[in-house]
Amino acid sequence: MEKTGVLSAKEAFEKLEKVGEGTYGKVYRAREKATGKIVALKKTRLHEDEEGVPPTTLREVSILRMLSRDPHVVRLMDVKQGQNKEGKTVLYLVFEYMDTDLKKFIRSFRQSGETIPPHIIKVILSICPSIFNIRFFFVHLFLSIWLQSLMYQLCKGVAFCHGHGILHRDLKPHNLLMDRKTMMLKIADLGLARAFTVPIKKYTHEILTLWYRAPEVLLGATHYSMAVDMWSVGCIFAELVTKQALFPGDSELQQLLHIFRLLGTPNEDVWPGVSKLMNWHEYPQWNPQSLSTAVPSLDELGLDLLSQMLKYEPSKRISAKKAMEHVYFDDLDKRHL
Amino acid sequence: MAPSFDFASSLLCTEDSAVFDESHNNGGTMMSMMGVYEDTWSPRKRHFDEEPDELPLLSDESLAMMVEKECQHWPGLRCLNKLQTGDLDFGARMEAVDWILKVRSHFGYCSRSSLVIQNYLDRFLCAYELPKGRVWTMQLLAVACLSLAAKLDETEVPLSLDLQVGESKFLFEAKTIQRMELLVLSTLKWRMQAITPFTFLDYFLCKINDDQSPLRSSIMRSIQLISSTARGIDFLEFKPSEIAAAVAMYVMGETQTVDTGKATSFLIQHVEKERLLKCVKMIQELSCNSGSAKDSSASVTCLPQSPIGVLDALCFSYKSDDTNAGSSVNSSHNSPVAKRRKLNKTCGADLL
Repeated sequence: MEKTGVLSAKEAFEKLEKVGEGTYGKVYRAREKATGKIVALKKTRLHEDEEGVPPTTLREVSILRMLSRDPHVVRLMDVKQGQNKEGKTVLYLVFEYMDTDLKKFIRSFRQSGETIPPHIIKVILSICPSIFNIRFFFVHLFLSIWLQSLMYQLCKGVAFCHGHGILHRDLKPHNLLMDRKTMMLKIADLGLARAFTVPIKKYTHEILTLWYRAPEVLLGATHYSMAVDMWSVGCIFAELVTKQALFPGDSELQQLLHIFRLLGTPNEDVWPGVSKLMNWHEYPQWNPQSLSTAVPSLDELGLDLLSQMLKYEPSKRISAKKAMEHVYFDDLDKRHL
Repeated sequence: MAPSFDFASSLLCTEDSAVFDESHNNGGTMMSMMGVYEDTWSPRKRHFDEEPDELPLLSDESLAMMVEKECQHWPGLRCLNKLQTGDLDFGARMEAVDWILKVRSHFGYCSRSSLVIQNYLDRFLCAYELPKGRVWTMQLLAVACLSLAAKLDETEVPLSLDLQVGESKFLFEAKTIQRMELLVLSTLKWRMQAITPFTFLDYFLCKINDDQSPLRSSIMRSIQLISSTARGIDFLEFKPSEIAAAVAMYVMGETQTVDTGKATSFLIQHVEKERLLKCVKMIQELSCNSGSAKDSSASVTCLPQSPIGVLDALCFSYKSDDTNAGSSVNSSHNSPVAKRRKLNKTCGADLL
């Protein structure tokens, strides 16, 4: 990383608009004056009365410095120090700019109505294309084609992180950036990510987003690992198909109950050791439902992959690398991914 | 159930001081040491039995990537050379390292943390020249490195004031530590995911044990030896993967459970044979010099037996001199002004 000490962050960039706000600061779309390049500036203010550089910033930057090679992880181009109007130290993280995220992308499709299964679309197309509204038709055709590609890219990016000993721990549609033109998907927001090549280590419940949280974390396991990210990937997969969150709980208990109602209340037979987890209680007993009831328009191969991502027992859950090899992706053209 | 869990937690918290009877090494506990998926104890063994080809931690290709990347984080020969020629203050570094070990012990951080902190310290010292004769700057650097490592890797980060335990000569304000943190981060280019011998240890122990989980006692012994390599400077010439391979080979050889020739032929696929054997020899000497193998305090106080060790002793003698005590008082008296002026200048330089 070349350090351009000549220009301060303010002098080097022209802020164009604010595009987001997070716990530690704002995100701007900006133009680099020297090159005209559009970037995303993530601004973090350092309060001198607090404890120095925030851990989330430190983890995010150091992990991105390690992961900078993969096309499916957002690229951190530079870190600059500056001062704001009150003379306080500010850090600017300079990222490549991506024009949307998966959350917005999904929402844009939700507004166009109910899902039509891809195989039905193909039949209708071959028989009588003029029956349907053209826009409605192409929107859904478009999404069904790109579903595999987006999921493959997500698995590939996660496999890359895991291959480097990094857990993301906050995978959700909002943290998956997209370029609408190229349909490239990139993993972002690694402020909660963490290295796991550490012997004898406990992790805390620092994961924030409830809907994508794995059951072992909800039940209080502190020794979790790569499998927690794959649970999130499974939830995202289902949401891409239905355009609704798979398990939209509003408390930890409700989150668990949402999961148990669909997958059945776990027991020692399906998940050895579950009853010894810290937060385990007696729960209402539900029988497992078929995943097709929750994701009716996903084909058989997709349902199989999804079921392997949503295994209760973490060690049985499919890994990102193995997911990439699943037959669901066999007919996907992977040359540009 | 509950007693079993408490026992396991207790083990996890006392990695450096635990003394194990053989009977404590049950399959479940061993698996918890090695397994990525650690939600329960007993199923771990079944997991290994069912999928013997799947390693819990680094895959073969991940290991290759880590070996490729470790040079980015390795202070290496350049740092060693500076220490040996006196360009870097050997005694001040030793004092900082001792302080780091005491603080780490105080907060119960695992052994990896002290290696990470020292990685930051040594890389910084190689890349940036602290002002001579300002003893407080090394202390401030140690505090900043400790703070950064705690934020990056530990689940609980002490406040700045609480961090400065262990008979520090100087006490720094939070904002002063922040400035030093930023200086360390920019000097190291924010590459803080340090690769240490612990990155490779589990993989090597498993591989030379025929892909089976090694005894917990072997893991604890390995951790202890790796921690001991960190205090002196002799092991600075070796990469983390070389140290991990040598320790794994030494420990497994020590227990007579593996064929040394077979282990060597595997390990030299990843590290150079000559350097591996040299490192094993030095590990052996380190182990002998530390006396009781399981006495961690003895390990911590072990001095390297080399010309550098002689220099080390001289530095200690100098520090005990009354004249030095006087100098120390003077330094304390001057440090507020010097500290403030120097850091402002440094930060200003960074911003230009």
